[in-house]
Amino acid sequence: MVSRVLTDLSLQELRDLAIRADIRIPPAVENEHDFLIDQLEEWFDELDIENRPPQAHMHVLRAKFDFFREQATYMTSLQEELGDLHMMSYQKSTIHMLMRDPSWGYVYWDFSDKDQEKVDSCSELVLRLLELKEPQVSKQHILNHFDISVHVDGRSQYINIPKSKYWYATALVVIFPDGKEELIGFSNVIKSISRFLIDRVDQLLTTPRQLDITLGGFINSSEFLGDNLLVEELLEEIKNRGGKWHE
Amino acid sequence: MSKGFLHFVLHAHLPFVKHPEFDRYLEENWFFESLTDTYIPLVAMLEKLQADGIPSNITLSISPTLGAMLKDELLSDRYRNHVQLMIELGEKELASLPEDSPHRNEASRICNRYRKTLEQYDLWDKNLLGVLGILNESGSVTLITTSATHAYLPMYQGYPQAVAGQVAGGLQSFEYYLKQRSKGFWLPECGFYHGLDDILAREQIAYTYVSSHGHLFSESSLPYGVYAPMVSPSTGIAFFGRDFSACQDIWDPQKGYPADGAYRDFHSDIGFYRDIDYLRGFIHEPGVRSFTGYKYFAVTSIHEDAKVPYDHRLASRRVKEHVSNFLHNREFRVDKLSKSLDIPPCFTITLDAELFGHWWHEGVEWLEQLIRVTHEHPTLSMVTAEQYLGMKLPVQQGIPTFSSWGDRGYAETWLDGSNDEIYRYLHKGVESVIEMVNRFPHAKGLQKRTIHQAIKELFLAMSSDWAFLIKSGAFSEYASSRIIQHIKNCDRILSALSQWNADAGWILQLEKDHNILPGLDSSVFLDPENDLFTSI
Repeated sequence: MVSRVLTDLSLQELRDLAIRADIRIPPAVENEHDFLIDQLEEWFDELDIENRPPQAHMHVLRAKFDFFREQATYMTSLQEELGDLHMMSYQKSTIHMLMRDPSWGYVYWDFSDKDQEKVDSCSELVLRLLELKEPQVSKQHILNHFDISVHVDGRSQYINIPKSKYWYATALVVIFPDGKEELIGFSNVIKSISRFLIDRVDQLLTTPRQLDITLGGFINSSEFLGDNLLVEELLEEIKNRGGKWHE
Repeated sequence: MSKGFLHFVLHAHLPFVKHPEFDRYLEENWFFESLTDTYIPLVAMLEKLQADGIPSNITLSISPTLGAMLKDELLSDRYRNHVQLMIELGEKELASLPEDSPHRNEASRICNRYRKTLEQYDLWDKNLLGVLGILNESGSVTLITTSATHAYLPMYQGYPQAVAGQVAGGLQSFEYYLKQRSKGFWLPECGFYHGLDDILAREQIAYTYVSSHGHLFSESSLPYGVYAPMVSPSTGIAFFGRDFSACQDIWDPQKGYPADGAYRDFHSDIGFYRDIDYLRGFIHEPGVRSFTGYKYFAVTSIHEDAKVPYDHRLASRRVKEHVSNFLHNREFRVDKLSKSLDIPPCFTITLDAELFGHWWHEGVEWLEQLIRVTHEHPTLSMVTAEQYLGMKLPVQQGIPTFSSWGDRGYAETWLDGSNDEIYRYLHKGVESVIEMVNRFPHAKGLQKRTIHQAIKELFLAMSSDWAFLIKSGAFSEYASSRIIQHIKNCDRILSALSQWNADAGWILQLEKDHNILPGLDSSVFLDPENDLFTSI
C-alpha cells in the first residue's frame, strides 16, 4: 500500500517527504527515485511500529508510573546539559555499536579535535559495516563490508544488519577530495541475532510434535497471541510453505 | 511426582525515587501506591500462607533500588503520612457521599483497607524487607536479586566491567540486606545478549530467566521447548524460558483476567473526577490530579466508557473462576504435551509484581487462591527453580539469544529515536568511572567512599526506567532530568578526585540522599577478566 502510493509520487514530492523523514540523499546515489522509495518505506514501517498499541508489559508499567495522569512531554536536551562536562572532552575518537533488533543496529560516534579537523576537510564521511568471521576486528577476519555515507555533522546512525548469527563491527572512514581514505577507528563487535527457527521451518514441519512443543511456548489452545517479530515471520513462513500449526 | 509444574516468578522493581529536598514529591507516589496495592498485600499473603502451613513456592525478585527504598526511613515516614492522608480522604468521602450512594460501601472498604495497611506496616516496624528475609529463610518464598539499578544490560555489552558491576552490585546489596547470597538472578527486562552468561557465571549464579523467544531461538535444538530450562554447556547456568501463553492468560490487557468486567477499574479514581477544591490538601499542589486509591467502578467493558459500580463480592467470585480457568488451561496443555514430552512440563510464569494489586486490584487474592488450590491439586504443583533443578530431570543444553520481554521482543523500548542519545553520555560515564577506579585501586577512607558514590551516581543514571519513560513521552522530563543529575554528580566527583579537591560535605550529603547499594565493592571494575572494553 505504502509502496504503491510512494511510486505514484514525483521526485520532488519524494524529496519533500525525505526532508520530513530526515533522510539524507547521498551525493553519488545511482537512482534517487528508487533510493527514496526504499528509505521512505522503511520510515513508514517505523512509524507503524510507533503507533501500535502497547503490549501487556507496557500496560503494567504505565500503571506503575501513573501514565494516565496528564503529563508534559518536554524533554531537556542532554547535549545542552551534559555536552560541556569534563568527562565529555574527547582526547580520542570513539565509535560504539548497539544491537536493537534482528534487523537494526545503532551506531554513535564522537571525534577528537584532531579527527574533527580531518572530517572538516573531507569530501565524504563513511560508516563501514564490517561482517566478521570472529569477534575480532582485523583484516583476515573481514568477510564482507558495506559502506553507508553519513552526514559530516551526523553523530549517530541506525544501520541495517544484513545477516543473522554473524559478527559485526563498524568503522568510520573519511574520504578526502583526492580520493584517499583514512580510517578514524573501529567500534566494538556485536553478534547479530539468531533467526534459527526461521532456518528450521522445514525440519519443524516434518516433525509436528516438535513444532507443537516449540510453538506451544507462544500460542495457547485457542488463539494466536504472538507479539514478536520472529514468531510472526515464522508463522508467515509456515503459511507460505503450505503448512499449518494447530492444537 | 506431579504431571506439571508451575514456576511463578514475580519481579518487584521501582527506580530509586527519593527527594529529601522537597516536603512532598509527586514521583514518590509510585512507591507509595505500589506499597499499598502490591508489596504489603503480597507479604501479608505470604505470612498468611505460612501460618496455614502452605509454602507458596513463588519466587520474588526484588531490585536493589526497591530494597533501598523499603529500608529508607525518610520514605517510610512519608509513606505513613501518605496513608494517613488517604484515610482522612476516605473519612471525607464517607461524610460527603449520600446515604443511598452506590459507592458508600466501597469507600468504606477502601478506607478500612488503608487503616489495616497502616496497622500492618507498623506491626512489621516498617521493615518489609526484614519480614521477607524471615519468609525467605523459612522457605515460604524464594527471594532473588537483579542488577544494581535495573540497567538494561544489552546496552552495555561493549563494557563488561559495567555489566559485571551491575551484576555484582545487585548481589552485594542482596547479601547486605538479607545476609545470604542470591542463587538466582533476574535479568532486567529479561534482557540477554551473547556473553552475558559468562559474567553471571563468574558470580556463581545458578539460574535466571529469559523471554520465550530468547529461549526458543537458541542455536541448539531444544526437545523440551520452554517446558524445561536450558542449561548453558559452558557455564552450567539454567535459563528458564517464559511460557508466553500462561503469562498472557494473566496479563493480556484485552483478554487477560484483569480485563474482566467484574474487576475494579484502574482508571476511574476520584482523584481525576472529583472537584479540584474538594481534593485540595490530598493531592499535590498546585492542583495536580493523581491517584488516591478511591476507585468505585468496575471494568464493566474495556470498550465502553460507561462503568457500573464495583462489587467486591462479585469480583471475589470471579477470582475463583479465573483460578479454575488458569489451572484448566495448564492441565489441558499438560495433557497435550504428555504425548510429546517424556518429562513433566514446567510452566515458567514471570510477571511484574506490580501487576498484582496495583494494576489488577484482585491480583493478590487470585494468586493466594491459586497457591491454595494448587497445594492440593492432583496434577499440578508450584515449584521454585531450585526445587525443579534439584529433581535432576533430563535437561536440554543451549544458550539463549539476544532478546528481552519488551515490546516486540528486543531492545527497541530502550533504544529508539526518542532515547538513543542517552547512551553517548552513559557510556562516557562508564569509561570515566572505570578509568578512575583503576587510577586509585587501593583507595581507602573518604577517597574510597567518594569513588563508590561516583559509581552509584553512574548506576542510578543507568536505570532502564529512564529510557522507558523518555520513549513513552510521559514523565520524559523527569526521566531525562534524573540522567542529567546523576551524570553531572558523577562528573563533579570524578573531576574533584582528579584534582584532589573533593567537597566532603557535599559528597556525604549525596551518600545520605542516594543511599543505595550498601556493601558495594568496586573491585569488579579492576578485574582483568572484565577488561574486554573495545575502543579506538
